[in-house]
Amino acid sequence: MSTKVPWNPDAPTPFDGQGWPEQLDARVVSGTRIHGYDAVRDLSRHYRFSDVVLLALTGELASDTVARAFEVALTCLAPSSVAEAPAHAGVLARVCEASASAVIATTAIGLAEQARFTVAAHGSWLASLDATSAPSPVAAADEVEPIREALAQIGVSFPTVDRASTAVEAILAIFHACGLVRPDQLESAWVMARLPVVVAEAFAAPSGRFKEYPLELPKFAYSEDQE
Amino acid sequence: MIPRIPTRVAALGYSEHRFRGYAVFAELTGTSYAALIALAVSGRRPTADETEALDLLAGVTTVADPRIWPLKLARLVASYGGCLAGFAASQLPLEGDRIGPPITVHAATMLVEMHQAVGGRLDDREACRAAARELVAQRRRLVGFGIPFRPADERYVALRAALVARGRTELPFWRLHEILVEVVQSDRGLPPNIGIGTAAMLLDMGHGPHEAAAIVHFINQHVFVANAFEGARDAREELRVLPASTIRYVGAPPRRSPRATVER
Repeated sequence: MSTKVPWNPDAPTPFDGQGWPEQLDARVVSGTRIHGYDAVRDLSRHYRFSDVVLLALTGELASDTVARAFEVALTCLAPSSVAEAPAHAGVLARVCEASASAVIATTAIGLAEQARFTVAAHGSWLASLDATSAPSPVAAADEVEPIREALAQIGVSFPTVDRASTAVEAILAIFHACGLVRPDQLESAWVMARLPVVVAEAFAAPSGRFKEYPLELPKFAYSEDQE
Repeated sequence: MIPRIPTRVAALGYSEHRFRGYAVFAELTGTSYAALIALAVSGRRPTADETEALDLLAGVTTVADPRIWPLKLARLVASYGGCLAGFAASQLPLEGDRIGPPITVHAATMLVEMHQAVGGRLDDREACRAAARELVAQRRRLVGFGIPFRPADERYVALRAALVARGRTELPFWRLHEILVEVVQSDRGLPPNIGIGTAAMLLDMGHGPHEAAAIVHFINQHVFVANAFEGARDAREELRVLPASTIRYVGAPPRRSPRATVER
């Protein structure tokens, strides 16, 4: 049995005397203002929510053309099937009778991971978007053509989208053209685009119905063989 | 047809369950929690000596002051009353390069490289020192060395003392790490921190860098648990919203949008 060591509340600690700041810096929001613009008296009267998202991520209000292209990209990216892990995880949280906040947090983590994975996997594509000498356009893939048409509908065309061979490449190219170039900006936009739909899929699932969930989809195979 | 996903973790049964190759009730009941963590990560059950070392590692890494950045993060999220939300949130920032398991991965990888460079000449002190010097020369940042706010890492000191008492400082990676410590202190003036000590200790148990990192992280969960639990139980309003006087705005100045300007 060890001896109890008394605590000395006056003993100095390594954190003492380090000159820590006494205030927390705010860099985006001040009162009702976002990057200097009043959300209530100005933005809410003149801009869409997607404009505010782009403002939040870039620090500046975009031109109308860019803002509308961003909205096209967000909308095209929104459908995220329950076959994909974020919505599947949300449904599973719901099966476990998770609170609404836990379902939202679960799907948000899943989407953030999906975004990180996707952006990392498209590193060379994103680097090619910065290239000064752009490769020639490729024949539009089936899944890219409707996105190009949606942009054309609002009078927008980006050469980089013409080079995309998948829908994800096309959407990342639009984000990039809208000024979202850093991984944190691209991943944030990805999560914002998909979160409403993914949580909707999760909350549409019945809560606590363990027997109605396909437990064996997919199957696991346990083995005690040595790795 | 979806292929079956192979797993070596566990299988459910009726009167008994399997976990990592063991019968849960017959073989694992009564096992130390730290040993279960090592088994969970690596699939290998630690020996009695290794279990004792893991338990003491869990003890010496019990630094749970709520001001420590990821622990404060647990407090902030738990301030709305959700213990698990606070706990979960505190885990996510630990996949970065400054705090958390990647530190152990880097430190252990460095020792593995040193071990490979030395080959079988562990008793050749000059060969070990040459390998250490080579490692130090190749790296600008030496993970596992340097200590903020204090001259020595008290956790490293306590771990070393406990391992000396148990004869574990004669094991290969610990011996190599001590030579690396000497070289880094003389060439860079940096003292060792707990990261290099835990890496050496776990490598001596036969774990690779990634296993070592996961084991170290998961046996240290009690420091997060304590903060998330108390944070949720007390649900302090002071953490939910800071007073305005404690916030300094440094962003863009007030401005009107182009559309509002046109309307005017």
